[in-house]
Amino acid sequence: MNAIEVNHLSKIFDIYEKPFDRIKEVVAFKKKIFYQRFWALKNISFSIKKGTTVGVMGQNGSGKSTLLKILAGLMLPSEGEVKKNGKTSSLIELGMGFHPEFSGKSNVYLNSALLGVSKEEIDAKFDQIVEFSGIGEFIDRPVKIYSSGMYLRLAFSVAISINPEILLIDEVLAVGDALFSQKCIKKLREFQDHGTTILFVSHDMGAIKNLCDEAILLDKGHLVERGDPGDISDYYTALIQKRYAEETKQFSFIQRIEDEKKGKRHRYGNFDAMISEIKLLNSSGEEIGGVVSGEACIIRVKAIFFEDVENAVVGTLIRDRLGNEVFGTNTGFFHQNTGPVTKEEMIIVNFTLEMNIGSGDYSITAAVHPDERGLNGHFDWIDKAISFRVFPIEPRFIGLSKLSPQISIQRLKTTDIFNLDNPLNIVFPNALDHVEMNEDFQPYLIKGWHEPEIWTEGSVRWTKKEPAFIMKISGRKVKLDVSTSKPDIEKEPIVGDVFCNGMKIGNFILNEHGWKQVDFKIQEKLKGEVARFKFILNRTWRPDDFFRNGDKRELGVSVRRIWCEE
Amino acid sequence: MKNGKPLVFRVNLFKKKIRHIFNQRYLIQQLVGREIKGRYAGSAVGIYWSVINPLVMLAVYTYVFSGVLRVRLGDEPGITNFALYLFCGFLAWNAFHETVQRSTTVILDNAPLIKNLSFPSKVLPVSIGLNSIINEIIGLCILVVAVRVILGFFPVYVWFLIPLMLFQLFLGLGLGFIFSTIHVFFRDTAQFVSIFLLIWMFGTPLFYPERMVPAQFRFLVEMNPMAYLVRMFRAVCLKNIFPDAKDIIVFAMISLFFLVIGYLIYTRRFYRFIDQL
Repeated sequence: MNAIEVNHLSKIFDIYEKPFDRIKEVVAFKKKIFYQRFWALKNISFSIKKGTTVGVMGQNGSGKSTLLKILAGLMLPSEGEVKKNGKTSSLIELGMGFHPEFSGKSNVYLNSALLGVSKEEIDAKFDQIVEFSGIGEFIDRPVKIYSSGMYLRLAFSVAISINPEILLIDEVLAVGDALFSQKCIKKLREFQDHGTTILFVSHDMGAIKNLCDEAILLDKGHLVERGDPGDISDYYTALIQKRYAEETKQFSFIQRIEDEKKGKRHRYGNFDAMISEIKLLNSSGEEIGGVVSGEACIIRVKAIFFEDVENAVVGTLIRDRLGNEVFGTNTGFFHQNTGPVTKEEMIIVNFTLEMNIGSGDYSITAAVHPDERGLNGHFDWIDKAISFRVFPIEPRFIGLSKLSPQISIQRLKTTDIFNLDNPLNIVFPNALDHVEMNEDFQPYLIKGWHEPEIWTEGSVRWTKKEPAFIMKISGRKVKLDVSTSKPDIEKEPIVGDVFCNGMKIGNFILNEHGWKQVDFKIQEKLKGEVARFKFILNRTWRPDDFFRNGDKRELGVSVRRIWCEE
Repeated sequence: MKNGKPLVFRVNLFKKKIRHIFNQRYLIQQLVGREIKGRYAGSAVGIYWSVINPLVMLAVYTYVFSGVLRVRLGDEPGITNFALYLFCGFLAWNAFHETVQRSTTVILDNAPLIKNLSFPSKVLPVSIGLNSIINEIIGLCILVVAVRVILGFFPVYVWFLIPLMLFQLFLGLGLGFIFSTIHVFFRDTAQFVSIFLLIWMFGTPLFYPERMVPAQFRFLVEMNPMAYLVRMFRAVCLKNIFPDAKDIIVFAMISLFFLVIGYLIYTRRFYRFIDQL
């Protein structure tokens, strides 16, 4: 099923040079035209299947944003029609309607109301929005004191909190820091997994290649190409090159090559010189279609010249399946410039290299340029001239590059090492020689504890099955007050093994109600050190099973205080 | 938007659109809140300014017109105290004036919002109109207390002013819709509206009683919907009588007429003007 269908869509803007022209036109009753027509989009048709992510690329002024605004229902098309199936949400501009004097919270509500979300929905999602934005306690401060990144993050979080079936995004992923970008990408992937149809406008070819299933290329209001994101990125690059060449009064052609084996590709340049052959060879000179990771091979590029040129540089570029650049080099980087080349000459360049890249499918792009950076255009550039496969090698590895690691592993007993830099001293420098059960000690109760409860004896916490805590050792004994209110404790006693830094130092048995004080000996050499303690209980219990009071927590024992003594 | 639909259909369509605005009440509530809180954000006295302002106005009127100038326009009920007479008239006029004046520019002021979010932009003038009504109600409370203290009676029909304010809102919104649409295309409209409202204000019997208007200009008062509204406000608050039925009907009809016309112009031109923002 199609989520979006666009048929013969055009958008015309009438541009008046002076405001007074508009009045003149009204007075002239349309007998004379005072405006200039500008076709922002011209006869565009495409459809997008439900659940796919489509990237829209194009240079500035190519009509991307206009297309998105029409799809979002913000503008009416001048001609043609748009059909959408599903609730649409658009991220076109962020932070619209934010009032600088209001708190982040009020703005979340205001902004959500503008996005058409009801109060109940926002109430339900508010915490989620704040958490996603990472704004924290600033949420109650006015947004005028936010940094621009915080502002945009909050706005983005609000916008993304609605669960649309169709999501339209305009160039907003570049918001915030690296952490936030990652969160955004993750969120988009979640949307994709939930079957959301996404239309994604971006200049960022990397993002398009990695996120989109397909891409659309717009140029001057026309839809020029649709296809695989990698191909479209190449075409886009070619278009930019062509535009550049036009600006610098050079000639440039774009040629689409299509064959059954390799699909659609692009070849562009001014064709003063042309590549006649690209081959991947093994070290003995035989043509191959695959190599084992790390194997030596040769990329051979032949170029013939139709004009006399002052200099020629031959380059090659390896790209992965998604079109990400893996490795590129050229003769210029090696200062092997040819100098003047005469017409009807041929240059053959062999790049001998070790294919130190991960297993997978790759393509080779080759080009001939007048200089090493391609600043003055290209003679000839062929995208994905050939493709090849890299086979895995033992030992296997993950990623694109084979960095030939050497590995050594040593194993020692922690108790055997003297003068060990105790990492706990650094991570918990403020640890005390006792642990109370109130909120102040929360940072030292590292796992397996419930929230503190106020009993008549003071603060008490229930443990889970394997509670652990951090304490500084100031004496030779560790003492603790434990109890439990498990009704059948006589029948089924709770036994807890106690560990210090992973070594067992003793155990305790609870077989009656009431507080019980237990103590354990500690090694002399640990005095003054911060240590990690842990209990392992033989069983836990649920109050609800005995009292039917709805308390379904997994409880172990309750602890009142832990401290050190000489 | 083709013409030629039967009238009944049009009326139904219009009802549907009114309901649509009603369904946006949460958004409107948020926007009115933004409007009110935004105006006093960061100020120490805050929202109380909207009470202080009319109080001070009433005090100043009393000092100037009853203390210094000792204006007396006659002895018939309603105009014995000129300060109250003026305050009562301006209560209705100011709210209307503010609605029209600010609605005219509200679309352009919020252009980025309208261009980038698909939300019903027609709620913007509505939120402005509601905001002025809230101020009007605060002023009305002050007026009622002042009437009780100075004139010695409690205006019993004051509840009737609430439906009247609704029609006053309709009139203001209708004109606001029309002017804001024109303003998008011709940016001179806001200036024009200022002058237009100034002339209208002096053409409305606010500073002078209707009977002082010469016979040859009487038709101006008859044609002026705001004259009807002001007359009804004064009848209720200062004379303590129920407004004239003719006044009510004429004012309600004119208000509804402008609301319908304004709304139709606004919605039909909406997508045209979005390209011009």
